[in-house]
Amino acid sequence: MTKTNFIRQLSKALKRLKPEERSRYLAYYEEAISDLMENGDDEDSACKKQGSIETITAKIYEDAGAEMLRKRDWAMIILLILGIILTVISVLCMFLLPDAGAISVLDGNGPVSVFVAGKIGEPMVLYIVSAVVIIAGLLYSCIRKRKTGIIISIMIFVLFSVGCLIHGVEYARQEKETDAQNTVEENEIDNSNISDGNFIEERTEEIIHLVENGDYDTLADTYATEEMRQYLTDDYMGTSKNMISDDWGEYRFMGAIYTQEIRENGVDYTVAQVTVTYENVSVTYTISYDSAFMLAGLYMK
Amino acid sequence: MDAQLRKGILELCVLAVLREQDSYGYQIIKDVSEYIEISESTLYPILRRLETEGKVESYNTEYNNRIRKYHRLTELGQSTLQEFANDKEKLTRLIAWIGGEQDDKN
Repeated sequence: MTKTNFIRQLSKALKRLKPEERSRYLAYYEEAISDLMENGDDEDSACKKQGSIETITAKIYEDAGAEMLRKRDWAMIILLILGIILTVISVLCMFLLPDAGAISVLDGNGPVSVFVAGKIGEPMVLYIVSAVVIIAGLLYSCIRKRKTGIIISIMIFVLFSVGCLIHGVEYARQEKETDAQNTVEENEIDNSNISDGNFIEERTEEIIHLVENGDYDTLADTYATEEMRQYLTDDYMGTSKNMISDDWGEYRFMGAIYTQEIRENGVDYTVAQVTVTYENVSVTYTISYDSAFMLAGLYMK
Repeated sequence: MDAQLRKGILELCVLAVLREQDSYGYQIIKDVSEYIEISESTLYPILRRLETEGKVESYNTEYNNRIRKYHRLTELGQSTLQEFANDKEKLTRLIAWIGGEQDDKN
């Protein structure tokens, strides 16, 4: 064995010691081997005379007082564990909340069904906190020169970055699709052969005003299908509206109404989509009608 | 020799070597080995302990393009050796007695 090799192996075996203790031992053995070599021993036998690395190490640890051993770096451990947990949650969120706008779907039988509009946007705060914790862990490990900490930090950093990247690409793709869909709908307004575009537009406006005013009874009695009626209660609709915002503010203006005909499960539906701007929020309504032009689905986002 | 006993004696041996002149690892081992077996891995903790107790201090010198660590006896180290010398008579009797030799007990 060469001296360099011997010292390297010893250095590895003495990792549990504080750095300054470790370098003292290494300097000591380096000197001992050099001295033996200068007094007639060849490199190999000079190393062998020190005894096996295992024996030396065992003896060193036996002699070492607690003050010579490295303490557990709790700050680093906590940072790393926190980093791992946050990364896992973030990545799960990225992939399990693909359409972060809507949180639940209820069956109103229409093609859009009844979505309860949710205010759960991208959990950006979570992502930012995760990134900060991961970077803090990495910096801390670097300052403390903890190899294990650095490796773990880099691993979770890569995992997080890959998650962000894939999620970002997917998000951009979905946006594009939505845009494309909207274009199609626009083109189909005039080709409507089942329903009259104007009639649907008027009905859509009326329904939206009823929702705004909270007049769900009229809405249910006049316009809704049997299945939809059970959802058109003060309680249910109030909750759904509150999830978008507690206070929508005054009505400002209504955008263009897009309509499209859809055939689902052998039934024809007409779907209308419109964005209404209020003082505090803007709400996109997607409303579906059955063949009798009764309200079959309502989606607010 | 019993490990505990050996440890105490080795400490004194190292101090005795340093009484003559400042010395470094290899030389200490060589000198002590003339009287009692000692190895590198045994010497290190002894030097370390003596240094912590303030009986020995160390300094680095350059030798052959490398660092050689020299050890020097402090006053405390000297007085430790002195104490041992004072106890010598007691110890000789003790050793003889433990060893089962006759003792007239005055």
